Amino acid sequence: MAETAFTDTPAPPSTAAGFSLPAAETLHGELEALRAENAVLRERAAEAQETLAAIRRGEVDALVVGDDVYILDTAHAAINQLRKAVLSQMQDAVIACDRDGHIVYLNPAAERRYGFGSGDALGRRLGELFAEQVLGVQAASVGHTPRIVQALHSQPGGKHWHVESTVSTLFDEDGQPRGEIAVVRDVTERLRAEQQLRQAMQALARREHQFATLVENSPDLTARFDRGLRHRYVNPALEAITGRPAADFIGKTHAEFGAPAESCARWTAALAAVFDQREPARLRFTLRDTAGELRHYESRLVPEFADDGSVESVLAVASDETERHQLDQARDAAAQALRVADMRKNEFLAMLSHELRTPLAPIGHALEILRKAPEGPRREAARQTLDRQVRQLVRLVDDLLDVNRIGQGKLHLRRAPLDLHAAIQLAVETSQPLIDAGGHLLELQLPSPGELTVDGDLPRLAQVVANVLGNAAKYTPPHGRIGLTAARDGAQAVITVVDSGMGIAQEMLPRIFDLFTQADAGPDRAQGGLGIGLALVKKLVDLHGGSVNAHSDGAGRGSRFTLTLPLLQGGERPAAATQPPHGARASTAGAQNSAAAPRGVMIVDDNIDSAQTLAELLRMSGFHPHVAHDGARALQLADECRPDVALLDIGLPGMDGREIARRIRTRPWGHHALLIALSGWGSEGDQRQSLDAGFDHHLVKPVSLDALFDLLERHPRAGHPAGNEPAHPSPR
Amino acid sequence: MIGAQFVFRLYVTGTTRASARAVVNTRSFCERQLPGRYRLEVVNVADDVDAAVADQVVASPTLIKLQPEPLQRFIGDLSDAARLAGRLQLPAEPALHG
Repeated sequence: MAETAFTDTPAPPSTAAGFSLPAAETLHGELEALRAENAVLRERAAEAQETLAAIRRGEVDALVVGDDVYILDTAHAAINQLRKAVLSQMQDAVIACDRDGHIVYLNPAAERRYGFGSGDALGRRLGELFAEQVLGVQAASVGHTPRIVQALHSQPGGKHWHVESTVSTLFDEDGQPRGEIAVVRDVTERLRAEQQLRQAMQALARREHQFATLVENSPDLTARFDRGLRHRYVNPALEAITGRPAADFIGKTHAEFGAPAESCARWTAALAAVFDQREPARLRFTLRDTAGELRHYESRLVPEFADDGSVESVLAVASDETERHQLDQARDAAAQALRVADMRKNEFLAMLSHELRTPLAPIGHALEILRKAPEGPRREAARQTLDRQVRQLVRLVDDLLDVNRIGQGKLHLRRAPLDLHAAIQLAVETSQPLIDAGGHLLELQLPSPGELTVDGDLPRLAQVVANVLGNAAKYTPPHGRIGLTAARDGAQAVITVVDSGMGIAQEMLPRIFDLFTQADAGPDRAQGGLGIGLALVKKLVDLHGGSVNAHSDGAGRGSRFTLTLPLLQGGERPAAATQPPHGARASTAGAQNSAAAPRGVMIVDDNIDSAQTLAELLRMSGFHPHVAHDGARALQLADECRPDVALLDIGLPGMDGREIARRIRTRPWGHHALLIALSGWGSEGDQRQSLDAGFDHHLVKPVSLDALFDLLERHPRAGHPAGNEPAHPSPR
Repeated sequence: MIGAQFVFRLYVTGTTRASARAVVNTRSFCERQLPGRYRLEVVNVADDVDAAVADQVVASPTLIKLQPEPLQRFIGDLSDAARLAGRLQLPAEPALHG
């Protein structure tokens, strides 16, 4: 091939000169030309020699023959060609160095990127061109594994870009390392994208953290459900309220968790609907907390969407509405109670008007009879009518006062050992007119007197039994049967009143002892009554430590009332014999006891009619009444006649009743006088003021004559030793 | 490098060992002997056979001194810097190994 190279070497151009006979100058010129030609030829020869020597030394790797290049390293020629093509096409910069760090190759991408051509760069050390250790090419390093180096490249123009160099060692065909090749990729965009992604991830993580902090610390219950309606997450509040750890929930449906069947069904339906309809929903539910209390929750169910738009999970956030629920319920109950109470009140007022009006007609008629027939049996009949009707009115008013006392919790008992027999007798006496009016047959089965002794208030117990009897009489059609039995049952006295009447509807039974409760309107309404009687019975029996209940087999089948009272243990004897009942007529009571009663009574009232009629009644009962209508006259009168008893109205012109009482108490004779206030005002404060002023009793108008006579009769006559005076009973 | 007094063209064959050495040796020689007054052009014979033929290159690597005249060719990896300096009539320098 060396010969070929020489053969192809063109002849020097100067050989074109001809060989003519030269003149001296011409010769000299030719000589010069020959010398030059000789020099060229020598140069050519040297080149030829050099070429051959270089080939022999193995320094030549290709020969150019004609238009062809023969690469001597034939084994790698094809591969090299391929590599070259690949390298020149690459967008990544490729730089190869020898073992000393000299650049031996740059691909076009490298030239473009760094702005210098092969001629400027090849053969130079990397450090001359790149200030940075950017390529990661280290002369001494040898390794089979490419290493990756990241760096920031900057250009004189101030442009910066991030690169990632993949550096591999180059090996000779004999396996010796001979340099390194770096593929330098511009990763500026990728890094920017990565940076943005990282920031986005961090922002997301922060948000997630904030969300988690909220959820973990919220009192609201939070849970997440997957498509299988299984718990995927529960927050600490839910763990706390149920007392179950999150692990008990996770991966389980409500049913698998062990929720009640009804709750499971509701949750399943609600969650499935959110997955299906992709819309938020609400669900109210209850949970029993660790203390066993039922708590009410209102939850929002919110769909959470996957990237493909499907509902991936449902988040349930529930707030505790227990308090509100309770308030709602209490409010509803209160409103309902108010409605019922209002309805009862209206019924009561209607009934009251009727009841108050009813006696007025016979009273008016009786008065007319008295006027027209001054003598004879008709006069007596009219008088009895008046007596009955007035008594009925008084009873109505008494009942109303009792109701008022019940309402204010001021119903007090004056208890003493008493014989139940006496109380029942008294009650029968009181109820007899009503029983007789209905034509009923009353059957009594009573123990012998003194057998059943209770600690009770005689008039009140009599009132209890009378009310039950009256109730039986009213609600039994004419000519019915009423049975009353009293017997011992262990430590209890049991009084049973049975009738053959209209009975009590089942739905009425629970309310029968409520105030203003009455059987439905109908013919029985004609029996009257205010719906107070049985409420009083219940209250009074309760106060006595007993119980009362009603039973009926239904409408039309009669009813049975059972009263139970605790019996007194031991031998205390009832004092009933010495205490006349004030259920008896006032006039009778007054007449019976007039001998023992104090005689001098002063009445002070600015209502002249009221004072005069009371004086007349007292006079008819054997007292010696004196009347005054104002404070000054009252004091004067008192000093003149020194009464045993003074009945003082409180509201008086000039000087009120309390002042009169205080002054009487300053008189020597007044220390032991019985002072009774008569007032329209009956509050506890009013009573207290009266007692503080020196009164023994405070009676509220309209004053029950029975009660008044009772007080008068029990007062020791003037002149008795003070030590024998009984303690003042508390005012009713 | 505009206006350099020496202009070289180096024909190589890619990054084969001899070519790589020739590139490095040439650069090294020029930087030592002719800093700031040379221009070097590297041509791959495979890329530009026409140029190689025109320059009467028969083997690679070949370094051609285009300027100043006369044109000179140096064949091989140019590891003998002393000889190169001598032929270029530049100051002698110690031989470099390839």
